[in-house]
Amino acid sequence: MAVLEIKGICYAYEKGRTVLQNVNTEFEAGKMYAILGPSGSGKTTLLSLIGGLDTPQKGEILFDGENITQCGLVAHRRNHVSLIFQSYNLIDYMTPIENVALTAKKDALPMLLRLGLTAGEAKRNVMKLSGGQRQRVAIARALASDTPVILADEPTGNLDEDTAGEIAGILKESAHELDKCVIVVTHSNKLAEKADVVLYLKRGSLHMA
Amino acid sequence: MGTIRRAYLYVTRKKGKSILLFFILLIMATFVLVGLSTQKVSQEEQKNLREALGGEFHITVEFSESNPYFRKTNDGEGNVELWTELPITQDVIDAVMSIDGMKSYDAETKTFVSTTLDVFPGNVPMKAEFNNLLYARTVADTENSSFFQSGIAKLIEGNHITGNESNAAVISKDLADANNLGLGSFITLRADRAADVKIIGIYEILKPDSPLANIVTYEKAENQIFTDINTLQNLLGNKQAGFDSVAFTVYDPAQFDRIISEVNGLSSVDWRAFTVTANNQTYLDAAAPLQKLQALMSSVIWVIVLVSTAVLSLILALWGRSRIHETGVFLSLGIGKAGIIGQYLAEVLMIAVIAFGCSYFTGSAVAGRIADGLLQQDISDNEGQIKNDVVFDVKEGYGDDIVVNIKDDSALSDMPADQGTAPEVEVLTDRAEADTEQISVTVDFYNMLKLCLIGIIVISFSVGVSSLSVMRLNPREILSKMS
Repeated sequence: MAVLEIKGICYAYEKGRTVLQNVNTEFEAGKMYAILGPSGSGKTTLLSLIGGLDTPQKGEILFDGENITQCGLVAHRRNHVSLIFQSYNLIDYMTPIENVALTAKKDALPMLLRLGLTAGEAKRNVMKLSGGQRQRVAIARALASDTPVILADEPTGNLDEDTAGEIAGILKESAHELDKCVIVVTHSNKLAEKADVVLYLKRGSLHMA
Repeated sequence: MGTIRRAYLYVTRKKGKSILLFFILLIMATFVLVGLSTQKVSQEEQKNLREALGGEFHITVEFSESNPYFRKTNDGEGNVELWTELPITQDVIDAVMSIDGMKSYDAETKTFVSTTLDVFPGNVPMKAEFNNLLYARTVADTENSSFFQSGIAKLIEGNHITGNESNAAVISKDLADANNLGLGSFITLRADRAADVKIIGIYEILKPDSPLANIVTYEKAENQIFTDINTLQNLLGNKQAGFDSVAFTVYDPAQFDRIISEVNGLSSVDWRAFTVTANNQTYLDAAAPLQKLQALMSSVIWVIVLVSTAVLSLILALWGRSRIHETGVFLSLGIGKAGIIGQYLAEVLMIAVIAFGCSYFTGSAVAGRIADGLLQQDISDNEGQIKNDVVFDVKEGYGDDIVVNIKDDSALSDMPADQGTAPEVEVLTDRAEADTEQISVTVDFYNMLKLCLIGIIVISFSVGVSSLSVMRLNPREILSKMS
């Protein structure tokens, strides 16, 4: 059963440029989705709409059959989705443990250890960690929040090839082992190859690759 | 993670900003506290001053043709007697004293009486017929009479006249000794009629008349005979006995205008017969610097609050711009805008708690110096003005502890050096002067409480204003700005 449904959403910027035109699709739990598309095709916009960071001008997004605006976008962001960004978006004055604890419904340290950080690294300031380590912290934060949907926007964009591969593995593992619905927006074909379902966004419409 | 925990982490991890904000808040709090403390002290000192000075007004019989009860009799030998058919009675006094805020009164009528006593002659030559004339000073109560209240004399034997006596007298020890009189002795006083009065009290003169002063026989302190109202009635015969003037004292000069207004509004009193003279100038002069300072401090507090709000808003707005990223992350994590503003507010309040606590010490130190200096400066200026008016301070006469403020000192320059008769005078007690000289400004609990309230309002407003621009954006706009 679909955990997320997108029904006929349209989105245009103020200047009149339409980026999403009647997009319809469904996302299921336990699968990793990759959304590919050229720059400016609206991938990040679509992710923002799914993540409740913005609202579409037309159409609706349903979580477990309920329009996300019904329960409120803040509650949707808090309880239904977790976001992972290319630039990690960690709070710079906190340690990894504290960053994870921001939204954690689970203990932060085991999650960080599971994702490959040492106990010492988990207590350092996040700004003293490498890019890969920071992205692991961001993923740990998403996983610890225990939301059914994880949205990742170019999660490997700033990482080297090996680390990117590891992160992709972690995301896929999260989908399969933790029964999460992982939606990744990426330019990377290598990351897309790891996905169970690959979607292609072109001229405002979403197509199966 | 809760709002307070996030705020705590920010405050403790961003030490530079926290320390800077601490000093900004400390300076603001110190100034506000100085203003509040000085304002409060000014209010308290005004209250103390009012209590110390009291306030006085006089009701006197109107000895003019405008008084329908005014009478003038001429004995055909050039002696004119002025009197009234409606003197100030105890009913009038009681009506005035029933007004809220009245403290006490000193009622008196001076009546010339002739006696057979050996009196103490004055140094001003008079007609022979006046040589044996004395004042029968009819008072409602000798103890509250200015003669005794000002410390000129003190009762050493017997009792005071309290208003319940009949044909009673209180005389000086000197007069009693000179005439072999004592408690229980009778003396005869003669005005329109003769009255035998019994001596019930003897007073001792503590402040003798100045040997330099020109004093007539009946004014000499040794010759004053105090009697009760019934004696006066006996002396006057058919004329109605009462008081010529009554000095009323009020507790709080700040209530002066209201009381005077109520006095003038007393319907039970026929005001055609009397004049009310109010003089609150002593209090106004003494309170002026304190009132000026209080007004100044109110303005200063407002300026400090407004400047503090502006500075704090500006700083927080500038810092807020550098926290757009953080705000966007919090929003993307599902933390509501209220929670984020709550965190920013909690951060400033946490620092403010410490800054306000420290401001108790800095405020006390600064208030003690600056405000005291301001107060003393104002008081010195005022005293300088008063002292310019003071021509003499009577050291050996009645007033060795009173400062005499002469309203018209030009009158003295026209007087011979050996004549000390004063023009219109008013008395400023040393107590009032001492009270204002010993002002100290301290910070107390209520000032701290006020500071906290002002601080919370200023901080809340500043945080709200500084967060407005960021909070108006939706999360996606913020994240776009971040990238």
